[in-house]
Amino acid sequence: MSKLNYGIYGERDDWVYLTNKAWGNNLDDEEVPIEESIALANFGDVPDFAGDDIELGLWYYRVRSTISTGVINDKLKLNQHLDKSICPIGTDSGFTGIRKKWVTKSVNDNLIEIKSKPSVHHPLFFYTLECYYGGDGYKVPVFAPNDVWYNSPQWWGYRLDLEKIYKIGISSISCDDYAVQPVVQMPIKKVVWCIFVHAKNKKGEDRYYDLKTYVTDKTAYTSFPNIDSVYVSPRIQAKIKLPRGHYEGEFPSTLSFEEINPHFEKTDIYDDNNTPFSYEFLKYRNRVNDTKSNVYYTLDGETKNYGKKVSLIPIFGVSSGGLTSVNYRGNLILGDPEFLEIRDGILESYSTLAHFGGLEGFWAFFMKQCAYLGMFFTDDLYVADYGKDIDDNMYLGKIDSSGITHGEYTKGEENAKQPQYDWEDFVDNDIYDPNEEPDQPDPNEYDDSSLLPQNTAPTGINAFTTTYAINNAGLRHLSEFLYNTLLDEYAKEDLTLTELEGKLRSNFLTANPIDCIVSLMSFPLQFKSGSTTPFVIGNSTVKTSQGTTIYVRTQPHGSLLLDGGSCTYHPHFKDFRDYEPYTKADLYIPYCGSIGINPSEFMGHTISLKYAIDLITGACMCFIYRDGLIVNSLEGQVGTQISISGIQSSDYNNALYGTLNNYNQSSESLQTARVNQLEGTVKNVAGTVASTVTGFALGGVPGAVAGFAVGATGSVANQVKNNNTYNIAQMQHNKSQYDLQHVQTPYKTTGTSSPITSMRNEQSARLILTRPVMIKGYDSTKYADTIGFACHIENTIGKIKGYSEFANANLNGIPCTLSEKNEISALLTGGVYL
Amino acid sequence: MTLTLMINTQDNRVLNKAPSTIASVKVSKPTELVNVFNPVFYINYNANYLNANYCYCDTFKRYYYITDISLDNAKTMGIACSIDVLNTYKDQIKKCTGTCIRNSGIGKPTYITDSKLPIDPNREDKTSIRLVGSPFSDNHANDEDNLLLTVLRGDGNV
Repeated sequence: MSKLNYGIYGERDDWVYLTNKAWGNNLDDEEVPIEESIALANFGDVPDFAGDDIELGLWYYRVRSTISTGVINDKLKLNQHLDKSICPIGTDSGFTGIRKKWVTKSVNDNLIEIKSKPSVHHPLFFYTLECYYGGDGYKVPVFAPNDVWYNSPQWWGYRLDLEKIYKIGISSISCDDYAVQPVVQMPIKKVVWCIFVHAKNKKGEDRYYDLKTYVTDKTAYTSFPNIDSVYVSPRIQAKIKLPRGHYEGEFPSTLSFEEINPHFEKTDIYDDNNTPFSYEFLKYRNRVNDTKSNVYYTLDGETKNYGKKVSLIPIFGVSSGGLTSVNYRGNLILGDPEFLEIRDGILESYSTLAHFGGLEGFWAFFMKQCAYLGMFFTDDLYVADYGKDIDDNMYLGKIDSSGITHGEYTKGEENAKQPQYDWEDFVDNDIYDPNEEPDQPDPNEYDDSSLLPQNTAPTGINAFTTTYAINNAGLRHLSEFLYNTLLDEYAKEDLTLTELEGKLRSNFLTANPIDCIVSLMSFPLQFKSGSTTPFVIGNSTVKTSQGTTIYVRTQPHGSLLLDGGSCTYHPHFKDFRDYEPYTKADLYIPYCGSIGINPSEFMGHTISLKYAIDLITGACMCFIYRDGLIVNSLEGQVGTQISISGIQSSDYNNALYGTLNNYNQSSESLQTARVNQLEGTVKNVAGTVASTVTGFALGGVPGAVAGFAVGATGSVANQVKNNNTYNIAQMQHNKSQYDLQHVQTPYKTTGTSSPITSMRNEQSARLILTRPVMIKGYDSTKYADTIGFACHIENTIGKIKGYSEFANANLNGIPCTLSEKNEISALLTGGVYL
Repeated sequence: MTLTLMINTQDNRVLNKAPSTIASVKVSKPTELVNVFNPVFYINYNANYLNANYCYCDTFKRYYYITDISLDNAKTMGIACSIDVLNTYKDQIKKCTGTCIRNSGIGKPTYITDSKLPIDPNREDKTSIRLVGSPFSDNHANDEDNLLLTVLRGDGNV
């Protein structure tokens, strides 16, 4: 367990912190922020509490969850499991503190009556700092150790408390009002509690010593037992990095925290090297004058607004009563019930070693108390800061099999045998990667990129053809040139048919100028490249009727390679539901249709497309990339063939197509007869048209085109044959179109799927995802508790917590009968609560 | 042979049970052989004992569920038991190695396929991601130079 997993805890800005209202005293109407921390636990001093009804409170550190506190029929209730994170309160519990409702009838008679006393099994501690605002003229009654009630100043810091240790049964805790979110989850191995002694030195000055120093060399520093208190403070070892920030208190008044505590100095808890400052450094740097309002502490976090604090990680803290004559050190915490019940006497007992049974007893007493925490602790400040977990002066509270501590501890290498030593945070999915596979030797050389060839298609400018990129105006110029300008020019010359044909062949390389046009395609693209040149068809330059040369751009290449868009495929659920068969993914590719893809192939990768387009035929091929590697391709049709014949080409082609069909189905003689008949028909048509052309009585475009279609009768026959060939190609083309329709977009399409209709479709590619939906009422928490989530954790059973099912447990080492072993195996397979 | 009578409110599948103790009682001499798996213990009657549903036998060193309680002339109680192997051998079980295939502490589904996860068979969510960077114009009416005309020769030098 190592790092903060924001995936589990949520973003820092989402973290909120416990808020509470003033406890049941005179300040009920004031909302009082309460800071609880894993901070300072004070063994000494008289507990102070103002008022008589102190509400129950529940604090703990845990992963994100919502809980609240309150007294419900004198029982604590909680709606969720306690956390497994940091402190042993039960095997399934968190760093929990409970303030039990109690009533002090009188401190004078040393009586603290605890209401509703539940069974006590566990160490429990928490730390609370409060600031109460009394307002001018409003004095807060506070009871001081000398049995005198004081009225406090306006502000006073309050309190460090520890209450009894309760064993918390889930069923006996509930939530009501207050939202609690995690502060932070810290690895138990990174928090070391250090026992300090606050005492006066020989000069009467207050000093802090770690317990070891004080006990072993006290005479060098102090005149024992002139101590003020003994307490523990958590040391966050330097190797853990915590979120940064300051605490900026915000109180229910217009006063700022600094105004309340003018001596407070905000301090970063890290030095320039990201190393936490030492306790001593922080302590003195943050300390405020006890004669003033007193709350001083360093909190790693910040408060954005009252009631919602973010990333709050208290490092240490001290509360102090605001009365000049009283120096509270809060209360205590640790310990068994008996200790709590006699704590009023602790302070008095400080005056004599006899209470502890001598110096060793003094040391042992507090070591035992610290062991109740069940965490790492030490009496040596240096060890707390830098010591290893198995350092000879590093101690670890023993936890029994029920998760209960008894004030016993191990030290040194024995620590490694304690269960806490191996506590793991297997909730952190980041360290659990089922897809991780061991390295395998593989002789192949892998390449994760594909290389498409450079443009090797024939250029449009060559000895035979030229391709122009034109717009509708250019097309109109061509039409005007062919049908009007050129014919007018020829009409001025008194040409015989033979001369006309010769002139046409000279200008257009053919007797039919339309034959000069190889293709005319429309694309959903704009061809802006290419050089501007005169518009020449065959050997004729296209001009306006006024003789102005038309300029257009040549398209230099016969094919294009274009980027078709890209996106990165991210997981949505971040679990198995992101993959087939639960999630289905389709890729819609304009002009190519759609294709199903496997999410596992593209998850976490960038999907990108490239189109290779044949500018002559309009056909295209779309390459599908995963990152730089082509993993699939799809054919399609981008360009639309534009008819250039004045004859209704479809009718014309259909006639020829039907003829061809009949032709193929007939006998050879019949075919010959039909061809002759067909040629005869064409001859008649040609003769009619030829006479029309001779007279240049070209009233309309169809006639004109028919005229240009006139060649020798032989060439007409060839045209028929050519058209037959064309129709075969067309048939194939139609088939490919038909196929395309069946891989088209996932949403329904009807009608034809020609490129021209595809232009009406969406022009961007899309990754279309179909994701599963959970049934209504699904509750992940309940599901986890009763069924559990599928996983694969190989470990000793004792290190796995919560509801668990095992595929096959190795039951070696259990001294039981065969029947018992079989039953254990069956129970582990069926599911147990660990 | 001492029988510690207890009340257990936890699920039988809990490994670490924390029953509350009612009393520890001496077992009367069994009138017949007592097996360790499903024993019947005879103890002197006490009305408080009727609340017990769990027990521990120090002789067998085993925890038992109480499956039945029978009374004999209001002086002797017959406590029929069934062994709780989990609590009895919890310490040893914890040391065993196993492959956990379902767990609550994971907190969320993992990348392991979970066929039990209640996915609605009749509903699904459909969404899409547009691939940014389409080369195609989505307004053909305004397209310029979108026609390609290929002609014979036409090299522009005529």
